[in-house]
Amino acid sequence: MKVAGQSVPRVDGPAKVTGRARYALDLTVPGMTHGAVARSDRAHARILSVDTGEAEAVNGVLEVITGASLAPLDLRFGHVVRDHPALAVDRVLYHGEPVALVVAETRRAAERAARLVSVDYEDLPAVMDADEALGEGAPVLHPERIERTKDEGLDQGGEALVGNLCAAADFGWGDVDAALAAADLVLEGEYRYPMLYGYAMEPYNAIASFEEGSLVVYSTAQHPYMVREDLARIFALPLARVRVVVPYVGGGYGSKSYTKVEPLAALGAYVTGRPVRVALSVEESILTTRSDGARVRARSAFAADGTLLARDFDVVMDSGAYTDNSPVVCAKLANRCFGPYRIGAVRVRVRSAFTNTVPASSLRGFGAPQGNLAGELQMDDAADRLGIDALALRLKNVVRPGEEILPGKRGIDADLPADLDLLTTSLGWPNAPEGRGIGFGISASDAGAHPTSVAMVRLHADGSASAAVGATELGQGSRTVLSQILAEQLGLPMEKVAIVAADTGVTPYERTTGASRTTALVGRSLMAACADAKRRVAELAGEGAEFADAIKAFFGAGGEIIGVGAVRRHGEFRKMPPFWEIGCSGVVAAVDAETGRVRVEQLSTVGDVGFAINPALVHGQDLGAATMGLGAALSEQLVYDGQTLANPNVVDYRVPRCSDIPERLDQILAQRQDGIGPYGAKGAGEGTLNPVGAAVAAAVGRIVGRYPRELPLTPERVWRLAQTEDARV
Amino acid sequence: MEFLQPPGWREALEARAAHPDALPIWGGTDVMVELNFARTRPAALLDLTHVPELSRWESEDGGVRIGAGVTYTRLIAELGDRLPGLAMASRTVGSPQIRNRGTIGGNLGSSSPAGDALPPLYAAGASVEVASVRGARRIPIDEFIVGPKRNVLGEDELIAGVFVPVRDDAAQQFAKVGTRNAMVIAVCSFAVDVSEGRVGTCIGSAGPTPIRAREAEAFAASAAPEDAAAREFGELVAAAASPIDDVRGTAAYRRHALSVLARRTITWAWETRCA
Repeated sequence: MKVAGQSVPRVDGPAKVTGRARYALDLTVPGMTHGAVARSDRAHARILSVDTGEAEAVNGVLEVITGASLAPLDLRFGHVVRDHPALAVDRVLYHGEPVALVVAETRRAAERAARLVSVDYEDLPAVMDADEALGEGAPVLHPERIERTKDEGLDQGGEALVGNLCAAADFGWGDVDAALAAADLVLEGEYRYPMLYGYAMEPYNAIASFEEGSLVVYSTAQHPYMVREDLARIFALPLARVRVVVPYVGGGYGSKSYTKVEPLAALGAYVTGRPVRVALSVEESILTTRSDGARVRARSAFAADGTLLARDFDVVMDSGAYTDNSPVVCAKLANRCFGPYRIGAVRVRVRSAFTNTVPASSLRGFGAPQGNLAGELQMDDAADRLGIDALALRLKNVVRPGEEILPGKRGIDADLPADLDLLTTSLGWPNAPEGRGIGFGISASDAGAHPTSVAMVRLHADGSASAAVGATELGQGSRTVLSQILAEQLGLPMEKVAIVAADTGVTPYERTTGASRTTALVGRSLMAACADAKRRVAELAGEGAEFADAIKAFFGAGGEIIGVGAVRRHGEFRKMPPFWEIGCSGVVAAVDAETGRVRVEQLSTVGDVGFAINPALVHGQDLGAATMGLGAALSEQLVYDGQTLANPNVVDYRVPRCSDIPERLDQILAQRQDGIGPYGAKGAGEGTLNPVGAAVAAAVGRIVGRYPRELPLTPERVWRLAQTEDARV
Repeated sequence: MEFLQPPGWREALEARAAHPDALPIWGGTDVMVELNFARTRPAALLDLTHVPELSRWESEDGGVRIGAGVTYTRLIAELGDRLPGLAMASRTVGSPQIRNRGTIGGNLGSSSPAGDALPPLYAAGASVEVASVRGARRIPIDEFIVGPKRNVLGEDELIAGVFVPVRDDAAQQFAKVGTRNAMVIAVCSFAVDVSEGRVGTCIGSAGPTPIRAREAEAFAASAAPEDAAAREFGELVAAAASPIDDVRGTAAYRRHALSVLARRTITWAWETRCA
């Protein structure tokens, strides 16, 4: 291979480092107006009336749009359950929910007017805690339940959805109770993973306009084709007449999956007939989407020789006010919590609860870190109690290549014992430096999502080639990697290929840019498209012909040859998941036991990616993901103080800074070409995050003598842990 | 919002007298946060970055007079040898960008109990120099700040600078736990200033204003520099704090953390003086 496998420079690098790359926020459309959002200052209330008079009187204001003013349009969106109104209609379900959209000639006028929108509410009892929400007598957020969309690509729940149950996953095998009764050691504990904000440098924003009967939207969406479906339904338009264009996106991490501000901008354009931009601040973005916090009760049963006999997980997720993507997070949390081990008996029950808080949706890791905290810490705790080395205990139980961890699903396409060996060698396990603790862990995520991807390749008369794909460029490097695959397949240098991406009016269908799927799945549809194009060349000009010659011979002047390719849930992609994304990370940490301050001095990651088409990009993804894990481990948490967020800004909500990055970084790549993607590649970008919370907690636990059960490990929590007399906290 | 940008000190004082509702701004590291969060909407901003007098510092009898517009970066680079405690506190400020923009005058003007530069100034017994078209006056720092984000600055006055005593044999230390502006992390800080026959202290972030631990100061001034005395000193400092329970952390933890910081810093200061 000439190009694949090389750390070629990013194709978007020069534009980005010189500030010339265009993001949605950089665009302007002629005649563009500005939308600003008035938000609820109640957690749960009935809207009695909305007074827009003062707001309308502000100079430059074109319209003040409320949910009620838009009847009979149905403002609700949601790819799993259509229960999320773009503007609240008769009730608000959380503090910060949009209640009105002001459209004005300037952003300033719109913002000023938005502050003047006055809403008369009747307060309703609110429920802020997920366990309470599922209990008797809690106020019910969605008394009328809306049926789920019939989408076979989205994991569906088990239990009947009543009360505040947003989603549930319930499965298992073997006789868990018998295994628990017969075990030599049973560990039981309750663990808490914080609700997080997936901080991205570019907040949510979109520009919408109606042009010649079509709705055109520029946005920060990770999944433009999913947003297109929501918009088509709201405005009763065919998919062909909704065009969602996504230029460069300033960070996604799952926080920009699915529909966010696009309906607001589109409603503004619908009512005013003018293009409308809605650009949220970071503070407003925090009020738009967060991740699901989780309370995890876990039991693990072991034989004296370390055999993991059974696991029993009972999880409640705090999913906020609307369904959004929590049912899928719920299903994934269930699949990922017990770990890639051989276990004779498993029982998993995950319930996602509605609460009067900011709606939760996707975030990097997607359910995995929440469950992994409990699962991996119990492996460490069991090792101590059984007198078995924590690495040896994992090696004894971890699955071997090809083995299933979920019955009927694809076997593990990775060598986990070898990954653990690489990781622990880097960490110096079991010999921690003086006063330090080592923590490490492993995870396996059913990744790739529903494998639907279509790609188109165009061979041009001058011997160059371009490809059109629906995948978005979120900073992860998709355009670079896809360029490399295109160049490799066609035997062209990087200078002669280009990618056109993420414009539903132009590029072929891509289900999502999430679940770490782009390299593996778009890569394969692109390879299929290249093969198709080459087949056409051979048909026209015979085997081995240069495509430029074939085009010239066929058309005489100008012309091009187009190849299309697709990946669907068929053939080698029949079995789900398309691939497993492995997490294998560890840390060396120090603790100031008197103040509780934790310092992570070394971070080691093993990127089991099958094949690194661009190793530098994989390193970037592995380090970025693990660093987000460190944020959740040490400092990130959205905190509710009563019915409002206490830290809805990135001054008080602390994401890691450069000074928080460990001094020593060991980033290891495991390339065994065992994935379904191009050249044996698998996805990257989330895996290294998943075990980091448990790894930091384990390192701290080894220093202070007991394992923490709640993240983030703030100084006070660590100090309290060190003070606790009861060794079984 | 009106934007005033006087070219010199005289003009700044006149602008202030004419616009008592103007909010002074230098680096903007506090003011811009308040504006962006819409916590404050002043009628005017009084930009002092063009006033050359404010960016100077000079030695004075018994100490250093530091202009209000001297940044954290300059405190570290230019005054680190004379005022090591202030330099240590400045180093703990956020990021290089914030250290390049944030000023000692801004810290005084904001009068936040979490202001990083304040504890070493309290511990040293600094005085705040304020001025107006009527004239100038110096106010002991612990009389200048009177409550959370409240000070005695008159409506026609500006902060000109701060006078910090320099004692030849002084050993200064500063330490903090947590990160300023990180809501979910309990924060507290502590500064100590030890010289012959004098111990100055100050607790940051654990009450409505920075607090001097007077009893602890009196105890340490006459105590022998031993572990037991350092421990006792820590307890006295913790007792002087008045933290509260909130979503950031409990009062019990903050008092404990303070006792640790106080014990460690006095020990380091004593070690420095013995060395």
